[in-house]
Amino acid sequence: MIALVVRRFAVAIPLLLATSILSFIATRSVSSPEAGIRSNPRVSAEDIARYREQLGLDDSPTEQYLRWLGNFLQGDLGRSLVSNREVWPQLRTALWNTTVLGFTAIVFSFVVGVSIGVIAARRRGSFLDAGATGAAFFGLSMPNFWFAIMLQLFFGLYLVDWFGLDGPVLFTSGMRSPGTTGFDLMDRLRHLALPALVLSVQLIAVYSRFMRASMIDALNADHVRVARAKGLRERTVVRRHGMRNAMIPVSTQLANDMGALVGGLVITETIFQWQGMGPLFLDALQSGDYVVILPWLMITASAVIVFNLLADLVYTFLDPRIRYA
Amino acid sequence: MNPAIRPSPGRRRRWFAGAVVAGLLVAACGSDDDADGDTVESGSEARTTDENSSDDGSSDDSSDSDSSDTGSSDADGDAGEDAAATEGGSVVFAAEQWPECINPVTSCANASWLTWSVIHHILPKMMEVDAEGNYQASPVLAEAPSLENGLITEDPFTITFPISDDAVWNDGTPITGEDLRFTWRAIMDSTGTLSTAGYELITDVDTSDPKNPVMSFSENYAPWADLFGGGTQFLLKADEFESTDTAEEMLDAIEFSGAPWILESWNAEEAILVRNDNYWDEERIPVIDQVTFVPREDTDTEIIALQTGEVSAIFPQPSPGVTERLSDDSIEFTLAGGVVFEGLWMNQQSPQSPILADPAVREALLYAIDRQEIVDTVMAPVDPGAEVLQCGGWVPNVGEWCGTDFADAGQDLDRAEQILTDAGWARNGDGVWEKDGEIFEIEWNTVAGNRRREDVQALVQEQVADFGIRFVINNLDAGELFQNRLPTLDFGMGLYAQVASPDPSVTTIYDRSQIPSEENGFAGQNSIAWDNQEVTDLALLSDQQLDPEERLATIREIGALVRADVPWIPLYQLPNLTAWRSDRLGGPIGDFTASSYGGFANMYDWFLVE
Amino acid sequence: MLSRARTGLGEAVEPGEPPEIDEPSMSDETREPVEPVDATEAVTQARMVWRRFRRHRTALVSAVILLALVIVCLAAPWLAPYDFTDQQLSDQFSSPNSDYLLGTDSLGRDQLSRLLYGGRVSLSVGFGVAIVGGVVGVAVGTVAGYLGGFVDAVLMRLTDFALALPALIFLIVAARIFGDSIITVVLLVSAITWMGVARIVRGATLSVREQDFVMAARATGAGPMRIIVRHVLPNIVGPVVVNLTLTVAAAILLESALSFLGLGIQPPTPTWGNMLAGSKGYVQTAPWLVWFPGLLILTTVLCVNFLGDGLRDAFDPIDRRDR
Repeated sequence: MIALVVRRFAVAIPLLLATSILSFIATRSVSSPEAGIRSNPRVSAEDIARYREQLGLDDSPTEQYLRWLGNFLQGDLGRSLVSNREVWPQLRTALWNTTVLGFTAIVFSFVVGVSIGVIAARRRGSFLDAGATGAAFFGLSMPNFWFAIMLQLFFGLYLVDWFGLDGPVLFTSGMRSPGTTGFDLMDRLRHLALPALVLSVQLIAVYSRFMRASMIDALNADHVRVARAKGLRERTVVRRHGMRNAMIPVSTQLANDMGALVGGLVITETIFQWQGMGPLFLDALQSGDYVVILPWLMITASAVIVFNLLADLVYTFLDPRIRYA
Repeated sequence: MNPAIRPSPGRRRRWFAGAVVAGLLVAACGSDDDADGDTVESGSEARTTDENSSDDGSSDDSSDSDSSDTGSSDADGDAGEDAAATEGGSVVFAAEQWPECINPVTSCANASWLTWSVIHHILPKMMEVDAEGNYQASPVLAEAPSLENGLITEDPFTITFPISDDAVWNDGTPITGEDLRFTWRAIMDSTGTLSTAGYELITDVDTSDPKNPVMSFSENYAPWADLFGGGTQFLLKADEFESTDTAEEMLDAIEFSGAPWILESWNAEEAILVRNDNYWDEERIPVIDQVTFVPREDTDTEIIALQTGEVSAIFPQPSPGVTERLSDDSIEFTLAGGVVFEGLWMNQQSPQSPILADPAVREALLYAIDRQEIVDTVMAPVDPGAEVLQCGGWVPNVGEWCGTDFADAGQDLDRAEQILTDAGWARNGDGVWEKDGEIFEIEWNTVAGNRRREDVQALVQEQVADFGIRFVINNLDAGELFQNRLPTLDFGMGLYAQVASPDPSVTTIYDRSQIPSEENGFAGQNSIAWDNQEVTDLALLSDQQLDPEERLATIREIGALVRADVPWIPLYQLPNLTAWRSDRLGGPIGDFTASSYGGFANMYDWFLVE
Repeated sequence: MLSRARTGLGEAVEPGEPPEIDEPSMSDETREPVEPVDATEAVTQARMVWRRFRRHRTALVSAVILLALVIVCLAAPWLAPYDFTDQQLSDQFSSPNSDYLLGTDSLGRDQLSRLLYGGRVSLSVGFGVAIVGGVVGVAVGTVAGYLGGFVDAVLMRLTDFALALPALIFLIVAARIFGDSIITVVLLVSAITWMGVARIVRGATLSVREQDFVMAARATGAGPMRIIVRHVLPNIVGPVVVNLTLTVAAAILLESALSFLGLGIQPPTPTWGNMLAGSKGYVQTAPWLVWFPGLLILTTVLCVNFLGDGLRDAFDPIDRRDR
């Protein structure tokens, strides 16, 4: 198992390096920090020339990249080209915010999805199963920005209208009530609910489908049949013999999702004004701020790699039949 | 234009006290004030529109429709019935964009929202502009410098700013010439300064009389009022800084204030402004205790946030149907032509469409398209009072610079036909104009994913298809268009926006030496390659004319030349919109909708209603 | 060796990613050998598959709806009441009425006609991606699995690399570089969806390769191409078809996600995605502009997902439904 971990990290390093080079080329070729100031009537040709020089934009791309890489390897993420603020604190805040949102959505979806999956598997062919399957596919099939806007309208306006409320029960944007200080759990949850719901719809669909399928397999496995034949109570059979094996695929999926969410919530975060990794990326890309983009990609790619590794380890751990040489 | 509308003494008191005394009716609307004979709104372009006036659909109603200036909608009655003005309180406003940092010197200052949500409210200005874009002395100055009062001299060009004895920073220390000198140096010396326009002409600041600093210039500089104030500039507090390079200062905090508000905190999530109790101009001491700005960068989310009451006022870029979305009993809004204008910018050195170099082609296109229909179709659903922009480089609501040069250029296909025929063009077998084997086909570029611009393209294509003009639509990502194509003149006809600043100078966009080239490092901003010596001379002259009358005449001459040569076709202004919860907010909200300071400029006058 | 990285994590990553029940995260090393099916047996297999599929009623209905949508969109030039570019400025923002069954947009263009033509583009993107992604996936998978060794290692690292890229992020950047024509959108979306097929095919090829009958075929001098086509591909038709079906769903959703971000296929070419994204601001004032494209996307993707589900059950030797 240690060999596996070492091998993975050995592969990860050139992979990350390649990612950084490609994204540097991509970022520099599609946008530039000076693009934004060009349309300002107060900005003259001289101003632009001076700006380029001070930001080192006139140096050759190789020089710019190597300069960035050198600093990065020394643990210095540098300062944003556009705002001159330090990159790391920005990334840290965004990463934290995204984690809060993503983690909530994933845990919630996992619990709900697994429950639905188990129930659907035990009563397969029933109305309940059909309903759960239908709902899951519904969740998978909706453009999520559309769903997000409908949720905003429904919870923000229609519900308030119908019930004559003073204000929305679930807030339609932001991470907490503006201008307030201190931590208020209810307030946070009311802001978290809608974006988490948008993400959950799709995750629940995936988890419940996974769980249903592997649960059916598990319940039909020989040792489960034996357990049943021994006269064990159905509940015990399901819990002890079915669930354990059936959880394997969905758990690895969970681990993979944890990795993917770090950079994967662009649209949801944008719509709900959630100050996470998504908006940070879009802003930085728009302004050609490669100093922000590159570590951003390093972090998200690392997350994918680490959590994929974790997924495989979870798999090994849960399934005694598998041993990595 | 109208007489300056510097608020008469006691105006704020009248707004607020009036509301308290009369109690209710006043609460949210401007109507009562008009009745008082207040001139503030009557002359402005602002159109306070309510659901009723948007129904009459006819769009040739010019500003006469400012019947709507009376602005009260039936809703007010209901909302205001038990509304009472209160002093103090806290309120939340939304900002549609969020600056990357709050340093007003560096490129962070390129974001208009930096001025609108932070800088305008906390930093003092020397000269300021009123709601109609006219310059006037700010409370910092005892009087505005002019040639007449001797505070401006020609040969050599000097300006003296007479700083009022009352003017103090929020810690009580006086605002002096040292602050002015420091601000000048900070702008010149900071790494990553956005623009040194005008400041680079200052040779010295004499602060021997701290309350009357004298600036010497190397040459005349007509836009002087934009230095240390005006549209976007400001004064910094000298003793808060150790060095004149401010690149790493003011990234997320500015601890001093010389304006009605103090910035208590700022981060990516919110900006909190509180009242500056030490502000010397009592007219502008805020009524509300605390204003919190939050980013709501998705327009739909922003509008919903106002509808749900999560924020109490917004200043968004309006989109079609916005007036209907906001026709709610407890929401009021003001629409007005803003400072951003759009047009068809024709690249006269275009490799894709070399025919654009031909003045006949440009003029024929002007007459072939129906600008009125564009405005009626694309802009009227946004702003029922929208009008065609008739001048080339300015907007009618900022100063007096915008003439009516293009007013004669309605759609006139006969005229277009005549122009092309005279220039040797003829229709080919497909019914498309052709000359010397070149067909009348223009590559048309704009920013991809912008619904309004895509609609304009589709509409214009239809308008001129039968006449025999073809377009190749090639829309590009904003970065690609503005960073790669415009600077290298590698595009055909562009549909994009320009910003009109309070100062009318158009040198950067019309000067022939500003045509992007090797020489200026492809940084020149004359991106349509308009190569006209006469305009260049006039533009440079206008930058030196200190007499406002003479300068106006020169600017108008430039306007006439734009019309004569048609280097681009002005289409419309993007309207500005201030919308607010009338069940929460009262006061002269919306007065600054059309201004370059943004809709929140006078929020010191606003108050909460209950 | 990263197992599957893509999930339904939102927008994020291929929204329609299969709950890949056949391949639940199994590492390649642990695959069970595939029962050899040979081309001649494939015919009988197809009959069995069809029999099983027929019993899956939802899938059957979905297939019919989907087919109907495809036909209607193909017949757009005959069915559409108006030219999709025709502007009736006086009828701007008409709600659905007898002249315009599904209402009109901001330029008074008939929405029904635009949806019909837009469907052609959206469906082409969906099927185009499935075809391109399928071809690439099968090619990479067979080559890697059959040749093994260094080639396999290189190709699988490439697959890992592609999986490690956040899908939407890749599209956002790449669409800016390569533009937004239909072809580029198809190619770009394919570039992030071929990996699933590649893995399935490689796994199957690996296990088939070692079987006696393949050894025998090789001994008789059959070339690799022939072996792959005759012995490998028939064995993996099921999972590949299921995977590709779901790719169609993912591609249609990704196209709309790109449009939301202002990238994707640009007007004046209508697609369901850009019609939906372009009208989201009208949701309160001209809701028909938002609902109809949205419902069409939803219906199509839903049908594709059900179809995939049915196909999976049909191809899967263990029948999970009726037991």
